[in-house]
Amino acid sequence: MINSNEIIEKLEKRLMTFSNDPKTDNVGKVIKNTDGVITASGLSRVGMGEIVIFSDDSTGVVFNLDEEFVSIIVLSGGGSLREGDTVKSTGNLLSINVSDEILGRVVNPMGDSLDGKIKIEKGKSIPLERIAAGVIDREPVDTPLKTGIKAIDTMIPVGRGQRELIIGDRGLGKTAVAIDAIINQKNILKTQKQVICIYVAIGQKQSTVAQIIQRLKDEGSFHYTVVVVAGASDSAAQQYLAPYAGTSIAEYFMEKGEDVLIVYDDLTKHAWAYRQLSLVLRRPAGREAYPGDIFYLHSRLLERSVKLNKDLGGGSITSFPIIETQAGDISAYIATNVISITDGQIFLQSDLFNSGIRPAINAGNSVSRIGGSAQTKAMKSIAGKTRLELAQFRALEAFAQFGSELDVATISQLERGKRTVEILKQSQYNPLSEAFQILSIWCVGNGCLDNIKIEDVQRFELEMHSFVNANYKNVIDLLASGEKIKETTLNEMKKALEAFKNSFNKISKEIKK
Amino acid sequence: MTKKQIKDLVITSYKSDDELDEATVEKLTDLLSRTQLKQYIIALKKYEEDKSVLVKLATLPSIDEEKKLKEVFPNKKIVFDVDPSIITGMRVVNKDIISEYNLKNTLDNLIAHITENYD
Repeated sequence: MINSNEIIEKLEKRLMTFSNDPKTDNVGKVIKNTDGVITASGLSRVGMGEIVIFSDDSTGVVFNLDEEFVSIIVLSGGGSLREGDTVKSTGNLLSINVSDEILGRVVNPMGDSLDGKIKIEKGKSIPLERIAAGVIDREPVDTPLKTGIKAIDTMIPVGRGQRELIIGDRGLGKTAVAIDAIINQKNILKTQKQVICIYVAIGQKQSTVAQIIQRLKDEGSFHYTVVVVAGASDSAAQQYLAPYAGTSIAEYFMEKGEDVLIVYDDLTKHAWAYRQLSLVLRRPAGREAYPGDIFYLHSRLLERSVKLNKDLGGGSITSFPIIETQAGDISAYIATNVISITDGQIFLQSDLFNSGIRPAINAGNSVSRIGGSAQTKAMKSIAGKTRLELAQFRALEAFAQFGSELDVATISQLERGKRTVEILKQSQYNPLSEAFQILSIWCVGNGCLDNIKIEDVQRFELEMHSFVNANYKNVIDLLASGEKIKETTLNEMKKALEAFKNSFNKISKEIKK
Repeated sequence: MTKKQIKDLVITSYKSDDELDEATVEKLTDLLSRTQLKQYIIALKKYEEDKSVLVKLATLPSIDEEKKLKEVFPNKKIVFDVDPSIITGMRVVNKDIISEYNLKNTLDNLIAHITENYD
């Protein structure tokens, strides 16, 4: 408890150090207030991205510097601003206060609390706009980020420090994939680094965001997650700044050596918000009325997702930007921009979704440019041929529709492919650990499911996991270690599976009776 | 009307002793359209702001103080304003730069420092 004498002593010291230099303010006057953008005269010394304060205590950030006027986007308040009101520069860049207390919180891009708790006042002030780490500061991506989704972890593996785009039409499960990835981080082994998660909601409905937050709480994943919200009812300025605020929070943790996963949901709405601001500012409009620097908007954001080298702490930011397409058109302007920036994409297709394949991932159009470097040796050895087999199955399936007679080998390949598709289906909010994923993929790849009916495959998988976990725990532990699968482990797996299949077949027969 | 034309109009509105010529201004107001008049008024206000400096003091300035200020701003018209709230010292407003050389500002800074750093 600081007593009065101590405070007075500190004040006296402060008075002694007060310099004789005068305080200089740079002021201006509001000329125009249009759609959240203020045009002001004066402010001759203000810089780009500097925070300004209006006479009614509203804040704004400088967005355009013209010869005689300055354009300012309003961040908070601003409803009562009129022509002639004064505006003062602060000399500070737009930043957000971050500390460890931000985990488990819901904030807006300014760092204001939206969950009813106290605002984070103390902490490190991180600017929203920052230059990404240079080439020398980086390290190749070699640590897996497990999403818990079989289709992704086997065929489109994501590494810590990678940018993997999730792209598809509305309602196909893009957000579901991202949320499952966040939930799966609670299953991190004690030997691995905990992944801190940040979910940035841009232009989303408040009800949707509330559901997501509740789901994260119910799954016990909220304590390591931060939610940054700029909803549909928030201004275009807030929606524009939200991803940068989220990235600044991620960089705080990354620079402490932590691994971070950030989801931008979604960058299409982010582009719309930036287009709105640019049009109001009368910047020249280009293709589809987007401003000329729309690519730079996303490239400078996503370039901040890095894996730092060990000298800088070895932290990383993995990002999942989400883009919404119309009618599956991945050749649209914003979609192609972001595809060219990211290190791969997960493409969700409506045909697959409608035919019951969920997650509706099109393995053909999806890619991870990091590839096997982001997989453990165990997973790589088992999942190596899955993608190829699936591609061959798809080609054969199209051919088989012609109705011609097929040879035995083709039929068995078709049947194997159907079972592979079935095993890759996964329910929402049900991420699987790597050990169980390896078991499932190994099982289908080795023909263990060839004599199981397709409608029983999912039940088989579920019961097989429970059986192996209860009776062959050592196999699970060996697979979870990530080390290359030895012959002895494979034999154990075969033994476990045979034992389970016997009991499964017996039960199936009894059910039929 | 271009910016340069408006600027030329503003310059011609002034007499040789740098004071505004009322007759010229009245003649111009009859000739300009509403939009042009608005632009002219804005330019006139800016011109006045640019060529004058507002100095706020707690009491009327002494002759010495006036002389020193004229040396600091030789090409500008100095307008004095009495504002007892600044307690002592002065506030100088030169175009869009406000320089605070007064006790009120020092005390305000102290209050802000205490508020930010102590609960």
